[in-house]
Amino acid sequence: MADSAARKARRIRRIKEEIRDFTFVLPAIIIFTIIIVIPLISGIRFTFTDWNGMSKKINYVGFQNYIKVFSDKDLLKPIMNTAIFTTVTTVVINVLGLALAIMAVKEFRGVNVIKSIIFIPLVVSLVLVSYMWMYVYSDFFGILGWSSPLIKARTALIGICIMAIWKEVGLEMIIYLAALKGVSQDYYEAATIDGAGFWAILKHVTLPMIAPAFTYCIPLCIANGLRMYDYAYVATGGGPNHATESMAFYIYQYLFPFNKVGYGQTVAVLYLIFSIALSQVVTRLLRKREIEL
Amino acid sequence: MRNHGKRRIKDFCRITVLWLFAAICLAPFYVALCYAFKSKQEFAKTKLAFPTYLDLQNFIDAFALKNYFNSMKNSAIVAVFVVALIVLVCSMSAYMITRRNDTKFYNFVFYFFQMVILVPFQSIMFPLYREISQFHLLSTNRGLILCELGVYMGYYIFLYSGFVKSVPVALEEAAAIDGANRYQVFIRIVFPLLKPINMTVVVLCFLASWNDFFLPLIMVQKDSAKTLPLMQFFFFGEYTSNINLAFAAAILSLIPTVVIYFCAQKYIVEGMIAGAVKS
Repeated sequence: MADSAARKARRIRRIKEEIRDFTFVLPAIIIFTIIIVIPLISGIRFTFTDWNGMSKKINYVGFQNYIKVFSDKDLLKPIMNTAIFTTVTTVVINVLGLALAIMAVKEFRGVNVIKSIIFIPLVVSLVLVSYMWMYVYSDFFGILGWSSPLIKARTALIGICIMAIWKEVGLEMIIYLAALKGVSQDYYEAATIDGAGFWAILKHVTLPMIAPAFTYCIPLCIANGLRMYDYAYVATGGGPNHATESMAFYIYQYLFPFNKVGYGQTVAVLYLIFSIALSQVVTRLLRKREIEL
Repeated sequence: MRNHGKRRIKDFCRITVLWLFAAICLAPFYVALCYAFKSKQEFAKTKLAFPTYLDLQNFIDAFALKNYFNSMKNSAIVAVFVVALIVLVCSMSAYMITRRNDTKFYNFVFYFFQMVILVPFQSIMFPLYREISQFHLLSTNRGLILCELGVYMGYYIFLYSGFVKSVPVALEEAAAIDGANRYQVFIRIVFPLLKPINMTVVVLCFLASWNDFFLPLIMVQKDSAKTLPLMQFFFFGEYTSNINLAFAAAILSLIPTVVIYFCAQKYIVEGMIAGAVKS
């Protein structure tokens, strides 16, 4: 009798403990469900409609939106723009960030001031970044006799890439710098004794040793690139002649100003699948390299 | 001796390049300050020449702009609540998913949180907008706080989890033997140990909320509920003839972030690195 009562008490205590543990994650689960999961699921329903976002009546149109996405020639431009923007910013930010980190790794007077300066753009809002650069382009470039890259369709996207690089290179530099500081000096000494030059050391010692930093920085840059929106909205409005229209911008336009929710949401859902797949593939590849090296 | 000279030239080049790059980084700020500290007439004459005296009239005018104080207040309220709730909710859930990752359920929760980070905001923004409007929370600080919480949380849970892993379990076990329950263990032992990562999250999250543009753009339509980045966007659009004033207003809204940056730079850097190098 006493034994079973004790067991029962223990069981109740265990259940209590389990509930208590669960309350730790409960708020996060509730918030994620309301803000992310429910909208995600209800969004999928819209993709089978031609809804305009306001009318009471909703027509179901089957897979028509999906068929339209794959035959929509207007989509090619934002896809290209996003691909170019993401590739250019990811490559330049990481190469430049790493180069700056290599230059700054050996201490000298003023190195902390330089680090602080290069990092400052990170605290500026994207809106202000866009405006500051718009006037750098119009006034500063004006003094040099150059025209603003944002007004020509051919150069506008590059103009926006420069803004993004300026804003984010400091972060990558700091991360690479920390990774470089973590590499033991012994490796460099051994390599130098073996007669390795700068590039050989870089390739065979430095890069393999800081591989985890790449696994963090590169997917981060890609994700930022794929989500690029603010610059296009503020600095160029997607123009001139669609030259800076990104995928995020394109989706926004269909969902809000154009009131074509059915179609816009379809593009958004397909873009979600693509973004997740891409980030998974890239992360896997980088992890694999990390192990191989 | 020759080698020594070569190295000195190399060092000189290296340091010069870094200073040049730092100067390029500062150039846009210089342009913004030039506009803000010169009157319109003065700017038309001297353009980007170094300001000979600081004209504060633009800043005084900026404070008098309609809704400027109000939007600063909105930004502050939203940022403070988002930061406080993020610290609380994320530290708790990160603690549990790392401590109990041997069970299937908490492992699932962990992967669920990780997947959430990957969802681009564009793919949920319209249904979320509808949902928030059904709750009658459009153009309210509460609605904005709720949305920012959901959108930011994934990343901070990730940062916290990385840190919790490095906190030794022994102390907690000792407390548990003394009869403390999970809440007591968390509040008395774990949370104080999380101080470095708490600082990082406070700073990063404050910056993210203070600077966010896209989310408020969709969730806030009434002027009375606008946050600073929306106001900046509005000022630059509205005062195309008086950009000096718009820049002054923008620089004023930059002050809190710059102050925080210089006070808490250490924590920003440490947190970024913790997420990057350890994982």
